[in-house]
Amino acid sequence: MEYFVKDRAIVTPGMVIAKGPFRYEYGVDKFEDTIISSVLGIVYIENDGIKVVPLEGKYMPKRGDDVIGTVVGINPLSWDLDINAPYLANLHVQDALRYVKDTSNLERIFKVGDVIYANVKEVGEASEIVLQSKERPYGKLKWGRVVKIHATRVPRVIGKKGSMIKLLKQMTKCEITVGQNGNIWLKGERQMEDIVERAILKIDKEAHIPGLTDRIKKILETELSR
Amino acid sequence: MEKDMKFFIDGKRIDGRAKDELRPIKIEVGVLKRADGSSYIEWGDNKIYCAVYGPREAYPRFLQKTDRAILKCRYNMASFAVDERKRPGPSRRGVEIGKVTQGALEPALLLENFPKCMIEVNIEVIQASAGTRCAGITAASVALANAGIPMKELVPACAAGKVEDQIVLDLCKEEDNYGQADLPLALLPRKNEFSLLQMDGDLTEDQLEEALELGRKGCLEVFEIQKQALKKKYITEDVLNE
Repeated sequence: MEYFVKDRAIVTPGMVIAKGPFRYEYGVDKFEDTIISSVLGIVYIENDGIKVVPLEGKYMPKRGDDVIGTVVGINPLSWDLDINAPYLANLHVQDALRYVKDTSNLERIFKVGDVIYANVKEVGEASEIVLQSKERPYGKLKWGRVVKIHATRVPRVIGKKGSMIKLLKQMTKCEITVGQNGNIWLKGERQMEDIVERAILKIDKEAHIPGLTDRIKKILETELSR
Repeated sequence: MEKDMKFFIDGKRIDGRAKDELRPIKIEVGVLKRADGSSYIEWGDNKIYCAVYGPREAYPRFLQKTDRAILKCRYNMASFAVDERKRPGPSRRGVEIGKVTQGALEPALLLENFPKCMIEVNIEVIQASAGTRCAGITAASVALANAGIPMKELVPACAAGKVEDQIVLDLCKEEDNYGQADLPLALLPRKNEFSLLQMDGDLTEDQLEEALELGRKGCLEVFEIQKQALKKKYITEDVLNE
């Protein structure tokens, strides 16, 4: 067991991280007993486990993720949603509605361009994505606005144990819903929405730099005192 | 310029380099906002932008592969990139370079992670001065890493060649036009294999061996520059100030 890079270092694809019998999660590739990074990202080494959290890249859906998508197409019995993944996601009528509605014209329920908060029900073998929005928090998001960031930086918007999102909510009194796919929906006073949007875009830009929560707090304080 | 010109002056080349020296290379990452990944390379007088889109659903549909993604490479030279105006639009040469770029990059990517998808690589040459296909592959590889596409390794590329019966690294414009041979190479550094090998001109067997060895060294130098460029984007001055 030997390491070639430090914990939390930035690695480029093809860089040798370690040699030996390690457990590896994602972002890495194994050749015989050497473990190499397969993406541009930050290494996390914990005991005998190694993972590389990518700095860039598209959202790859997992079962159980909460995502925010936009309706881009209507089929006879389902909607196509754009969720920033390589593939379009599918939301079937049966999985969409909490109570029975007239389903003869789906456009009356969700139009093209509507923003929907949904849960990934299943990711098929050929990567087809099936969503559901039946239970309480899920459904159409009315009013507000959507901010798009990199899916790889969503954990920084939430922060440790939700510290960052709590801070944003408390200081601006906005409703914020974060999708794992990098779409963030905000609703509140218009000026507050502007402030939150700027803060989120700043988080997106500086996600890899430590001390983020303190910096964002400072910026929010100066902006709110204006 | 005369055809019987001198390529070496006091043991140095026309532009003052040693035989095994590269031209200065500068790579910037993430320069285009709309693309998923992008890069800009200045290699001597070459200026090239590269943009990567995807992975996204492959169109036209019959191109889709059910078990992996497809890689589409497009090489285009601007009409003002060369001395005499180049007729804009796709050309025989552009299609060929797009094809060899795809071949050079494909073995390094983990395309099986994205079935039915396509990844598009656009290489746009703004200013050309010998060795654009190598510079293009180098830039494309960096842009793919910037787009977050999983890969086995980066692909550096570099040319070797022959002028006045001597093997030299990274031909400049005069050497390329009036020299005896040009040998563009792309290397997979971990596997230690070449993924691009073309030859224009004549080389004996010994000269080919020598040129490959020199080209390999050049590629490894380019590889270091690629890695530094990628890291530099995230280790910004703000971090150092804090």
